[in-house]
Amino acid sequence: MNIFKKYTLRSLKKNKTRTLITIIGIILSVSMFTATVESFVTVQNLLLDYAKKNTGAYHVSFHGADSADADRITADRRVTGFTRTEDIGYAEIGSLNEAKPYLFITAVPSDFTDIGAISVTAGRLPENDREIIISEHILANGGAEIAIGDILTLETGKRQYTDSEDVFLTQENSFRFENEKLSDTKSLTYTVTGFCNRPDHDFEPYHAPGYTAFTIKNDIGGEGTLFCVLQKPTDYKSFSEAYESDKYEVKKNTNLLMFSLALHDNAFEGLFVGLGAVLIFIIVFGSVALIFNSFSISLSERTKQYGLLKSIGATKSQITKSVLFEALTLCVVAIPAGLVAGCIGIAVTFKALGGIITNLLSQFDGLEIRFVLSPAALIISALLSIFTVLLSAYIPAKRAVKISPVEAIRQNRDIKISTRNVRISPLTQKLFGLQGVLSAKNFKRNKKKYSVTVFSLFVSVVMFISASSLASYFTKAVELKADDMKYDIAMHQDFNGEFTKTETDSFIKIASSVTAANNYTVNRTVDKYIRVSKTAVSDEHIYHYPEEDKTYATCNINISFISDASFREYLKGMKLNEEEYFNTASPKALLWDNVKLIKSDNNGKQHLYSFTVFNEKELSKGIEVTEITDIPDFFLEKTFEENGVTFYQFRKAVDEGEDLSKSETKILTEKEAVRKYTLDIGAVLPERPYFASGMTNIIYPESMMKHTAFSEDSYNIDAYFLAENNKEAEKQLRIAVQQSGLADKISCYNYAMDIDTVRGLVTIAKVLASGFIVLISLIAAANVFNTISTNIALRAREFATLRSVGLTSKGLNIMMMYESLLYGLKSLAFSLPVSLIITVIIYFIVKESGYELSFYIPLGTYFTAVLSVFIIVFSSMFYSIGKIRNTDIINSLRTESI
Amino acid sequence: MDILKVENLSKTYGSGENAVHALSDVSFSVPKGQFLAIVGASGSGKSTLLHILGGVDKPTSGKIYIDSQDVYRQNENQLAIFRRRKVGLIYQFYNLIPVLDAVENITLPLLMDSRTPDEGYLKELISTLGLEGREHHLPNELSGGQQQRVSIGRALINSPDIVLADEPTGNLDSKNSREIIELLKNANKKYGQTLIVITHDESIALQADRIITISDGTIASDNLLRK
Repeated sequence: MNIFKKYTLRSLKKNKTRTLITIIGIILSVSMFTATVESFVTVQNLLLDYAKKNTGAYHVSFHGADSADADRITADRRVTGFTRTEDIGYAEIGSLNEAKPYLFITAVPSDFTDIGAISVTAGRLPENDREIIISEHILANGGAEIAIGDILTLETGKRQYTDSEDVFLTQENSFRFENEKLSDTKSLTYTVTGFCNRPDHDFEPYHAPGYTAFTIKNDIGGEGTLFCVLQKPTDYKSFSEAYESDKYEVKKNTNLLMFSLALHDNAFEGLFVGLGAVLIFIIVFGSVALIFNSFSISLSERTKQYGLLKSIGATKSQITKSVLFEALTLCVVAIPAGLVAGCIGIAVTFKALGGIITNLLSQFDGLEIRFVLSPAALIISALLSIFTVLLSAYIPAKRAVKISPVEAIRQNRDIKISTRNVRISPLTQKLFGLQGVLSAKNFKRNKKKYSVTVFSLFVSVVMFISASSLASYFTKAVELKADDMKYDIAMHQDFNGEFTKTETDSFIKIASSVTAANNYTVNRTVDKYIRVSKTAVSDEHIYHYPEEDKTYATCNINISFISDASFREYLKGMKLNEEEYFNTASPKALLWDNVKLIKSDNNGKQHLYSFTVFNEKELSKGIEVTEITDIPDFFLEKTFEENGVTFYQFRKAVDEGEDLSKSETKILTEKEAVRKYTLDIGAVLPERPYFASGMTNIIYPESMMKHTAFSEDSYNIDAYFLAENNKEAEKQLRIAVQQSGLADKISCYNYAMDIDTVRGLVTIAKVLASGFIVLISLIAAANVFNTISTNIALRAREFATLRSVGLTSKGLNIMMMYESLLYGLKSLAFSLPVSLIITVIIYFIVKESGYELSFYIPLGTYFTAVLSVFIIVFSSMFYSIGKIRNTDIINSLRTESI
Repeated sequence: MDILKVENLSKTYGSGENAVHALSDVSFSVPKGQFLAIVGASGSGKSTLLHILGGVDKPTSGKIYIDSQDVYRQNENQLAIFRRRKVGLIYQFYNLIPVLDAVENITLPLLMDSRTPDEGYLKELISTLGLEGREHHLPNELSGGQQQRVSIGRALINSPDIVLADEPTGNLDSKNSREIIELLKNANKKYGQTLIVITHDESIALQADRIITISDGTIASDNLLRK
């Protein structure tokens, strides 16, 4: 072996600690590269699985191709797989959608779903040519009344123009109304086996006149759609162009191609690749910082040796190759270990997080996030790592080569001390004595050397606090929102007006059909503005709504009528006698009194206020209410007296720009305009009921509606569900709504899934961020340890000299303590303010995202960061000085740090 | 024939007010095979002169010819090879590579040339240096005297034209010092190598053929003791 290689390998072996730290640094760096690249590959595979499930596993499709076309196209060696459909025909289905009157029946082979996509939502796939599965949007969109098990006899034919026998219309052609007819009809009978998701718009365009239905046929012939899978997805364009024809339409599976990164020039690919590039850059940056520092240290320790080699006759090229050989030797050891560690780490992470990720979006139902070991990813990671290491070694190598032999022999460069006078604070002398002064002078004269350590600590602290703060804020925001939401799913009336009796019954029936819900209530509610005496409202209400010019207070409240059963549960929970509440003469109500108000102050800063509407002390007397009649589109303009009678003048509201004074007015007497009644509150609920919104609620049992002052009001009807399995409950609810025919009057919302989604995202972000931060922090810690221990080692002679003139062990400890404090405080002096700024920015980002919470400093995080800095610094210093303390003074004085 | 010719050599460190003139206009020649001692007070410029002669430090001005070759007209690579083959440097503090054993340290200049040492010559050299049995010891397993012998072996292995020794006995006891000087003198006599030694030790200086005294960067005296 070449003498330089021998020298390099033995030097690495001699400085075991230093070599080990450098190897660990490279392993960490390689692991991070591997984890990042493998994550992207794994996520890409999930997206590909999603695309295959929803739109199919093909790359190019030919719509309207016949058997001859299929044979010609599939003979192309770029095609690795294919499947076909055969168009059976169109049949009128009695759809309410005038533009979509047909069922479009298409036959597929039994193995169609290997490449094509039929996503079953209810029932099962057909098994023969007498069974059929239909796109479920025929129910809601077409209003058809079809159920699984129904036997349909369909007059099936081809679409043609009424005045032409030559042209056949396809799904690409919208419905021609009177200008088209069905020809060549034959009667076909099918049993409905299930419903499926609407096919991709490439297969069933939005304007297509037929709802797709699939049946089975194993000897596919005739005209239909050919789906081709290509060996290389990037070939899709040239392949499509090669087989273009007027006979059929050529389309591409955009999702699959996009997720295969074959499409180019699209936002997803830009984001995917861009995000990857950013992460890789950050890892390279962090890794280069450590590995560069390790190499710098390792080479600076051997500066004299390189100078000596040069003095003996080593050329620049020989020295450079020696350094690069060192770099590559470390790679040979560290890279395989890093690749393995990275793969195991990310595989375990995905195993732990996999369920959360796929649960996040219902579209990923049935999909599993599988860690994919990609050889290409491993090669990329290895190459990135080698690049990083060589980049890190480059500058130290150049430095080693530049050093002049005589400088190296004299070790001038490494102990270049500035000659300027340095002033040390008297406090240092007082607290730490001469030792502190020596350390302080050392620090001040060798600023460059220490700045690397301080910078490493700075970066690590900032990243640690930022990531932890982000996780903390988002977690808190999500929990706040979760607390706020007292129900999982809501079904609301979604139109202006009132349901008819039949519709109300249907609404209630829908609610009761959701068997997956643990509990539900159907409520009638109305929001009102009522006038009460100012003594009846709370001080906070008066503060926020002063109404100084009025003798009354205006309150915005919600009157809710809930099911008797639900109401009785509340009474039971509070041990209240139900008689008072079911008293038809004057039923009492339960009160939930809390308003959340967001108001801007004079500086435009928003604040969240939470307070009660009513004065609790006055509740027992009953609340005297004056209610002004609500005339739609009118507002109360003024009251006036005429001949001792009070009149109320209402004016019609106008659009902006119109003359208000010219709008219609209505004048009502007091009897017509005003209603007075007393609200009897029986008890105040201690906890928000799950159906309550962010307003004060006055709650009655449903059966008492007619006996309250609110019997004539127009109500909204809502249903609220509590469901552990909120996904299943939502599914049942939506099907029931669709089947009820009230789909256009009802809206449903799964709040629980929102919260679950955000919680899931926060968890994933926390786990991935934690992993990332732990690794970066380890890199920083290794870096800091490396730098500090080398600095100490290079000062061995200095310490020996001090010991030889009488510095005790205690004195040495004081020096170390002072220097540790300096490192720690210096790095924290920069990093804590910067981290605080970032925490503030994070707070505003979270607030802007719509989460109401007040600013706080995650003290635990800050404390951990501060503690960690001092632990790392102190332990590095004391470990290093411990080694020196045990050596003989004279040996240290004699020995060069060679 | 002069193996070494120094013409108007100057070396200045720093500039302006802080400039230190380590050597000022030094000129002399050394015939082949001569044993030259350079003496002078601390800080007189002796080591600077030696380092420049050995090609490890560059002069500010002036020329050096070794075997008629202008040393500092060479580029970096040529200078490195020059150091490898044409001169042998011995330092006061041995300056061995800690991770290479005695034989490897000795044969380092040869190995840098990717040449293998002549086994016979190497054996003889090791024997002459009194290092039998210590061939595969690392520097930290050798005594000071043994380390300096290794250093001498390294300087001699390539049979260089000139051997330059900077206080070679400065770190040794009197017995070792005597032995080292004998080794150097033997090499000088046996192999005809020109030997230039910097020393504080009068007894060593008086063993030389010629003594040059350096004072404040210039040659104060140049006395030939033996022809």
